[in-house]
Amino acid sequence: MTAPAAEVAVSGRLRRAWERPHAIARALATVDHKQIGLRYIVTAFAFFLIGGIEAGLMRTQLAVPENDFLGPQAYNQIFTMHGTTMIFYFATPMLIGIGTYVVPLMIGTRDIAFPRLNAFAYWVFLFSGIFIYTSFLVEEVPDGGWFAYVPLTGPDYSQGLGMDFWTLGILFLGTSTTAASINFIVTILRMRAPGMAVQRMPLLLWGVLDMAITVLIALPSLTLATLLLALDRTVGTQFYDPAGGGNPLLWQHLFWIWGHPEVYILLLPALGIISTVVAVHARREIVMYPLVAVASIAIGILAFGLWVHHMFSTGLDLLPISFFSAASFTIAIPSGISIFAWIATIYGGRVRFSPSMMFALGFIVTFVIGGITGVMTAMVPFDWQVHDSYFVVAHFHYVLVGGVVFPIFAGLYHWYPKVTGRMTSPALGHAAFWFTFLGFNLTFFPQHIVGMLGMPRRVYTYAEGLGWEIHNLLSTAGYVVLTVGILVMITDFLMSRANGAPAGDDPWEGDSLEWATTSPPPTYNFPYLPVVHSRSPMWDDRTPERGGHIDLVEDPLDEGREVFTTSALDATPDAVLRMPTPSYLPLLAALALTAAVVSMLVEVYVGWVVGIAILGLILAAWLWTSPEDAPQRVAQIRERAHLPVVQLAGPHAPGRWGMILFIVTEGVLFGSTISSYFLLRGDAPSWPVGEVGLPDLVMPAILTGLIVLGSASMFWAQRQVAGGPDEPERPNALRLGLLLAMAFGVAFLALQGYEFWQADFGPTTNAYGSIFFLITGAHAAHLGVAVGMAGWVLIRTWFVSHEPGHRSDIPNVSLFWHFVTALWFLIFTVVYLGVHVL
Amino acid sequence: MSTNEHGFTGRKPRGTHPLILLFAVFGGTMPWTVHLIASYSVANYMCGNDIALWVLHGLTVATAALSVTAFFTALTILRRATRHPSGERTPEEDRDQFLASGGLLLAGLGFMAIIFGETAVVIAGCGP
Repeated sequence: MTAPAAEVAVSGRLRRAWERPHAIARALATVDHKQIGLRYIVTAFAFFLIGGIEAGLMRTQLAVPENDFLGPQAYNQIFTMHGTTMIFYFATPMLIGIGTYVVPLMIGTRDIAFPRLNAFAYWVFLFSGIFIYTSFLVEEVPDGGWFAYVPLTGPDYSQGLGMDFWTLGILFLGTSTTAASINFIVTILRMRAPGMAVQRMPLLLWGVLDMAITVLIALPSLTLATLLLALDRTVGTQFYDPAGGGNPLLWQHLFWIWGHPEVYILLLPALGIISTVVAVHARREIVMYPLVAVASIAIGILAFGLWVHHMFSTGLDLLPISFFSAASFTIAIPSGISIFAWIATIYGGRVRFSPSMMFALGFIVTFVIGGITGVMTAMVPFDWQVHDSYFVVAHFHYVLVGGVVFPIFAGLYHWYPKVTGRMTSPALGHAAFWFTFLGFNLTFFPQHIVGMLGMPRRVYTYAEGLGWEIHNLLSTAGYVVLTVGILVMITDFLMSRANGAPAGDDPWEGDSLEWATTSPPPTYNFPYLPVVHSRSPMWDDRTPERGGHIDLVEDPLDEGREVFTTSALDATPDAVLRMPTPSYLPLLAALALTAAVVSMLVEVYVGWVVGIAILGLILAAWLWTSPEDAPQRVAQIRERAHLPVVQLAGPHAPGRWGMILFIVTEGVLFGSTISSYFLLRGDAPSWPVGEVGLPDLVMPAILTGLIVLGSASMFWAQRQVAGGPDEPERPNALRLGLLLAMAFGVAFLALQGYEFWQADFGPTTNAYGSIFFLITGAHAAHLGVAVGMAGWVLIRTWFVSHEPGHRSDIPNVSLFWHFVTALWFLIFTVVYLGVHVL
Repeated sequence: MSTNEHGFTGRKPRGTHPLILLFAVFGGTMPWTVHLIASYSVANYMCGNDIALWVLHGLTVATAALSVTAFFTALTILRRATRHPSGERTPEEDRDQFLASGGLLLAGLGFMAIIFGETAVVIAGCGP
């Protein structure tokens, strides 16, 4: 079948299967990626406006010297919330929102891999934003900067709830970002249209994939940093307190191990948007596609080697910081490859100067300036001169506004017709661009100069006669012009929604699959799933002499919410996946988590326990999905779609990939914790610190035996699961294995509790006690979760079908259990044996 | 093995082994990561010790050698994948060509970053 997807008759069964719920359920229970993506975009834009208003308050204060519009405390609060809002609540969620809307359409499928997790991630983002802004209502606004350096933000210098709002809000939000990242990775790797092999993936997919992987590896470091700060502030641990053997530089290491990659977490999908916009509006494929795709991977990898370049002035020795200076130069190379590829594409193309293309061009100019000043600050002596000055403020706004916000605007203009079915006004679009572009440069370019003149950042006012007046006045004037640009854009979007010209399915003559369906797309996205044969399937469709066409899978996949899963590299179909239906559970789970976070803030720990327990119950209900038992359906699809290897999703379903990715991010979290242990130990005069004695080895040896027995029982239990027609499940043996594993796990936890009780030190004794209890306690919590999961699958053995090859719950739980066991070996080696041996 | 009308088959692809591809793509940058972290740790905690400088040089030699190996692995895969003219290649060869091209860039970058780090050792020094 080769007709364009939008023209194909749609079966009533397909419509019914993907029907949106009505009224309240539509608002609260939807799992449709398009609705959720739009919610992300609108919510993030609202936060952008709030952050923009905060910027306006700061620019008003700094417009003239010795101004008293804002006092120092209010200024601290406003710049803290401005940075926090723009990074955490605007840029990241906006890009997630665009990805959530566009990615499934672009890869030719019907939804994202985990639709309910997607809904949960959105609700958590929303509630986290409301939570942190509640601080204004109770007049306890965070005021330690969005980077929250200790000791300023520690219990001694930031009293009150302000920084507690910040730490808990960021921890809370991390759940959402991690969930979204796992969703993107599994969706892109396992749900691409048949034929969309890695060498044919649109560049936006490379950007989003690299972003998501970078998040999974970088975010645990921020999670750990904020967790340690929250514990120092509420429990009295001493991770960052030098008096107790702690180290304030630990914060900077952990924060920037996340913080520098975060710049690229934002940039990578933004670069993908630019590649998409440039190709479509220059009407030719991106030049040097393989290099641009790989440059995106290279940026993601190199981003992890730059964190110390934020710490050049902390007193670290010259040689260690020189390594990071060198790495900072290297990352300019892949960024340069992308820039040259876009310029070459534009140079040889037939450019349509649409508003989205204008923003893409504006991006190239500003990003190059931001990149050059980045290379300047990568030089240690130069960085020493401009550190914490307005030069740095100018630099990172060129990178983040020029490099991220402009691409976001380019993307919003590019996909607006697809989302709404209406065209925007070209005149208003161009006006929005020019006001924004000129206003942005007028705001931030003078800040390079005033920084070089010595104006420090984060000051609420300055004296007359320092030569900074004109630059600050120009910056404030630029802010006004920039604001006009944003208002024009909003006006354009609102007016076009009501009165814009009809867009049609493909107004830009785009190259990728989202233009193969109607505008706006139906709930099922495509009546028949597309099959692709090139990087630009839509252009093949128009130019058959180039050898391609959009092909469609013959089976409409309409017996329920059905989609294909495909192999990661070659996108060969390998299974049919049944997607979940709308549910209130994601909302309820997010509410339970919110209750737990609020309880932590007000130090009602019973509330926290209850919130987490309810969350656990909701998750248990959420995951209680029986595997589909439909072999006839598989045979039918094989025959009608001519896909010989297709099978019903079982152990290799996306859930398996999700579990593996969850384990990866948890592994990185523990890796960061162990690294923190070594950093604290390396700087301590003695280890254990103070009067604390060496750890006993007998009890840990017993614990090791128990956890190994638990893992072995779980392994044995997994062997009892049916593997094929000749290998039936042995339910009683399976239950016995699970029970044994749980028993060993509970025994481990009980004995470790006894070890904690017997210890002659506690988490607040000194930094050694803090890190010891953190590592062993976090491991115990993981084992507790593993025991709970084993109990859950044990109960399911009485209720769930035992069709061979269709159980993915026990392999997943087993994998998590073995991971927890492996962690224990690491902990035993480092925390117990290592203290004796090294 | 039969091929259906969409070009998909039931067999496994006949391209390069996934582990070799993995090494060709990431074998150049992973040594750089090791070089960076290990050199940073050595410089922080061992500088002042007589052998520190030699440990740093040794790290450079070992990791640079791995990067070069990854580069030539990628080059070999690329040459094999492009034996036939474009348009006559199998999907697996197309994929190998793409990934090997990426491996060349990543290995080159990794090697360059390692040499940049070694330059810092030579200039800044780490003697007793």
